[in-house]
Amino acid sequence: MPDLFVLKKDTAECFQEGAALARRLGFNAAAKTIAETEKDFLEKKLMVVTVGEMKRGKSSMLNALLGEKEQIFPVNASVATNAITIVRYGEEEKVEVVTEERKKGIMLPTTKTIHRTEIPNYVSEQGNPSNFKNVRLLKVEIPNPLLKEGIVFVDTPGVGSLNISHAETTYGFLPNADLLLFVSDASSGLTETELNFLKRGYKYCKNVLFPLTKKDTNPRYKEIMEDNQYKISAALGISIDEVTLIPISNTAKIRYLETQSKAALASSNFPEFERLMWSTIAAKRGEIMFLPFLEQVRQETFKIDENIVAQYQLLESNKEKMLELIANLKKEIEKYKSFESTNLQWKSELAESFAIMQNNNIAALSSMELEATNHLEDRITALGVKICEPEYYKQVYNEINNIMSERLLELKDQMIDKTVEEVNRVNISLGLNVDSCQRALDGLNFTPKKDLDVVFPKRKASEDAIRKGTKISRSIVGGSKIGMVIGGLLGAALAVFAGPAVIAAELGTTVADAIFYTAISSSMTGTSIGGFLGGAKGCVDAVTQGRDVDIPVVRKALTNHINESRILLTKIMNEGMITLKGRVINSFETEFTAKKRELEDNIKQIEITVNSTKPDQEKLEELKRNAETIQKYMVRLEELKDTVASLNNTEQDSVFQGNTGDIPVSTLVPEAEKKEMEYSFL
Amino acid sequence: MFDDLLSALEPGEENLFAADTDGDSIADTFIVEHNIDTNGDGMADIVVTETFVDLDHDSQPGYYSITEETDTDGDGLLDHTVFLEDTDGDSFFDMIAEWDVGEYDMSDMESLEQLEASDAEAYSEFGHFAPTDVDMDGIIGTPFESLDSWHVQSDNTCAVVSQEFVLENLLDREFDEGELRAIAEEHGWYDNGTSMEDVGKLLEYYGVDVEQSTENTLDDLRSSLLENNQIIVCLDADEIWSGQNEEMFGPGMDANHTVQVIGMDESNPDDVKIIINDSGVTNGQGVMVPADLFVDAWEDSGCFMLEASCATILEAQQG
Amino acid sequence: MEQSRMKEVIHTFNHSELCRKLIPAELASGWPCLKKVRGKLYIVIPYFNRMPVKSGYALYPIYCSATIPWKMPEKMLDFTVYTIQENWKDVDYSKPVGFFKHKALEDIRTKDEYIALCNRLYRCYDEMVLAVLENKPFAGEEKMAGLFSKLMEPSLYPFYEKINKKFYSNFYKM
Repeated sequence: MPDLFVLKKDTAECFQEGAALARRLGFNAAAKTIAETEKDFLEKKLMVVTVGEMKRGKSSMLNALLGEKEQIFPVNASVATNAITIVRYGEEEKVEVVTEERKKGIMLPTTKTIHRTEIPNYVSEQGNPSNFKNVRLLKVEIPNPLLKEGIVFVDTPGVGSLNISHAETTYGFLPNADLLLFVSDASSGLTETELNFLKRGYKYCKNVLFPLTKKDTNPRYKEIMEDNQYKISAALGISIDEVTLIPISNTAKIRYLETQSKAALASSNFPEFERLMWSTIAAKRGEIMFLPFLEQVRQETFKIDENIVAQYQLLESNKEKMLELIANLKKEIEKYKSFESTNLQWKSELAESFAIMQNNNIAALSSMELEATNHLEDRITALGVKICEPEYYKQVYNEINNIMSERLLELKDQMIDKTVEEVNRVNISLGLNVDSCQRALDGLNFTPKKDLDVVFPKRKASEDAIRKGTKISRSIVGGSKIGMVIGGLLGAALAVFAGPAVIAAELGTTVADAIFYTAISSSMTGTSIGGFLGGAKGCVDAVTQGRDVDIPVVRKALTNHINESRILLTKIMNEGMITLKGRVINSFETEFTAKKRELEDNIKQIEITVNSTKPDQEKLEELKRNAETIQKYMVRLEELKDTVASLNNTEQDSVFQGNTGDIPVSTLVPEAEKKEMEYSFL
Repeated sequence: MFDDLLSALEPGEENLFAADTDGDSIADTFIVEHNIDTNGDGMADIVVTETFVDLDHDSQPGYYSITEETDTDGDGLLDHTVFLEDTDGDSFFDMIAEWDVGEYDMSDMESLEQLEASDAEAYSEFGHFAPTDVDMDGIIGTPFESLDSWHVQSDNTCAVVSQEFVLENLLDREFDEGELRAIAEEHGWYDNGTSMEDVGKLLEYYGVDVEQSTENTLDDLRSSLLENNQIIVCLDADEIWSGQNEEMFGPGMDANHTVQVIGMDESNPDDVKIIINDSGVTNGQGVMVPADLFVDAWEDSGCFMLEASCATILEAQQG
Repeated sequence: MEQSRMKEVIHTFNHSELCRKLIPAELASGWPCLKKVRGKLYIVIPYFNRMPVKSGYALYPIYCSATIPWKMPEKMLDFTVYTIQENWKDVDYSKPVGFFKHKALEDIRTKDEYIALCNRLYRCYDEMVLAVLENKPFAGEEKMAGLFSKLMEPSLYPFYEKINKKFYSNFYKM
């Protein structure tokens, strides 16, 4: 197996050379793209995200996996806070805590370095009750060799049924996950909330491992395991054989770390789990961390090669066509110019779609309100006057919040799908998915010659397929970025995920994106959100301190809470949609500019050849030399790709893959107790 | 031009209707119907209807349309329609549509007319505002200044056109229905019609301050007119057009129309009239609707009123 | 005679704030269907465009529908605009699909007669709803099918069928 560090260094060097080569040949736009790709490549991490309900033992599992002598994640804390913990490699240990403080009405992040032993003071319920310290992120760098290859562990707060904020914080991470560790435990079966969450996660990331913790606490853990297996396969619509739950015991592994007891190690089942996890990571890292970047650079050099070859072949056989090619390229430029100034149909179509989406949002939020109201009425019927007792009241209040957040998350998914669909549609309708230099060349009606010294590079049939699967989203137009924007938007809407800017920056998103998150979150963490949560809390307080509270008072308080939430969320959505629309349009305009630059580079190079006073023979030789240089470079890229591909052939004992079809609705909805009439019309 | 047309007509085959829609005593709208019998069975199997509208009397139609109805299968029923329309008088057709009449049975004609009053009957019993006919002291608002902007809507665009009237009054320049409609479509304020929520969005687009409200009364209307506000209301068109109270299709979608209120006539306190510009019918300019009937129709929208204020515009112009 | 509850429910929604926000005021609402979601009863109200023409109404394809809870007609579970739905993309909204009134209503001469007939159908809906709520068989199925088949606009039926084939085809016997 090739050394990953050497490979990474080689690849980065190869990209640097590529950028220099492009610049030397006069293709500045391509040089810029390659340089940016190199930067992204170096920053790319493989992100392993643990998710699961609170108290399922996620943190213990991570401690056990990393095998650190001193535990990093506090485990005896009753409930974790909102904070996300990110663990990555660092030469020296460093722990930073990011809190948010309100300055002039805007929430701004502040970073503070702390010692490992201080961690519980910030992320546990005891040390930081109700997260009054506003902790958003805990960043841990440790010299753990397991992380050295650019693997980042993210521990998310539980997807608890009682806390919207936890769920949303976690959901916000999903589009970035490369491997999900979906943790369930042997003490109780999976809940519907957890399964819903899994379905959502699976949509973004098809690499999932299912550790089942606390195997030592339940001797009959196999029953739970089978039940979970069945539920998961039904929820994801995949065969039961594809769901492999790995029972583990965190405590046994930690006991092993302390005592080196072989029996404890075997009982923990960690060796099996680790083997599975690291082999999955090994299998995926080439695909995730190398191939998209190599492919991107290859495409850029391909285009340069094509331009040089075209010049050579035209000069050799049909000189007049060179001017025609310039004219065709100029026509392409005009086309992009027209998209910016006169041919604005794409813009109005986008605006229309966004307007429709906005209407759908209003409707969906009304439907959310209805469902919450229904639930409230059902609970009032079921609980009677008991609902006036603080304990039950709080429970119902939480249930209502949970319903609302669940619907909101569904809405978010819809918005993401719809936006991606729209963007793709515009991409195709404007022909942005086709290489315009290639199109200009095709328009020449010129038959390339295969018997010349310099011939056109061959396109592989499989190339398009690869490109589709691995293309990096260089702009907002990429699906996962849209997901993040909308995710950030809703996270902010829930007020509790007020730190999207912090996290966006942490994930290596562009500065512009981070600014965008800040803009949204700060606008929303202002007065309106305060009102939202403040009002809701007020309701709780009113009842908990309640003097002579009766059902009508409770009903009114909760109905108001639901109604106010809907109104506020509608407002936030409407404003957010306007911003999102702006971003999408802006990114298309940026794309036009990039395309124009690329075309201009092409024209310039052809003009140099046409206008040069050198004899044709000399020009041909020079072009031939350039073509050879770039083709030699392309061979090197191919070799690197082969090496990376060989990474994937190493032991691959992965999970389940494939099955990209739509996930059917869960079949786990319990049947109604009462036998219902069957009607021919219902 | 129209004289030429008239002389070209052959008796018995064509019908000509001429109307004065803007009240200047000169005919401005002409409808010519040609009945063509292609197979000589004595029945017209192609009916071509041409409509010319020439409001500025330059003999060049500002609007021109042709409707060609054909009996394609010889059963005596006109079953196919082609419709061509030049809305801006540039002699090019802006819209061409074609459809089969299908289920429609001409023999239903008689009973259908009983079901629904035709456009020509709308407002036939009411007066139209003319400064010479009324006691100006009893008039609230400035209806006379608002008459000119009126025209007939081209589609389900009553809300767009009502806003156009208001814009023209406030900003003192011409607006084009087609352009406004395009803007509204682009922003989702018009799609097969306009939701009440979106009435006023076009005005905001042009920087006019607007205020939507419901549960208004005639007193609210009066005081708003006295403040020189421009007013749009939503109401039940069937009620003011033909006194029909019940919606033909599903119940409750009765606030189906938007009109501009341009004034009130209180010269006879026992017979107060509301003066409106209604783009929905050909004689909808400056109609004086009895207050009680107006309120009945208005109540169907929960007495929805949109007020656009002149003050901000003046400030904007001065600023 | 007592006003139909179904008619009242639709009327209430059509006058609600939500309807004003979402549905173009010029549209008309059509024949509803019932739907059960998570054990609760909802009605789906379709909306379409119609334009008065010389002799009746030109009818356009169904544009959108709202799904509202039977017991809370001012709220909404779902709102669908069909113009943007994938399986409706071939529908041409620019021209009428037919005209009102259709052949089956030939014997209905006046508007009052027509409204009375509609009210009879709405009362059938009431009986049906009652049966479903009480979990009892619906006895008036045949009567309802007769009225429904007469009143349903044949040109709009294909769109109704697209919305809920099971329900509408059960009552439309043509």
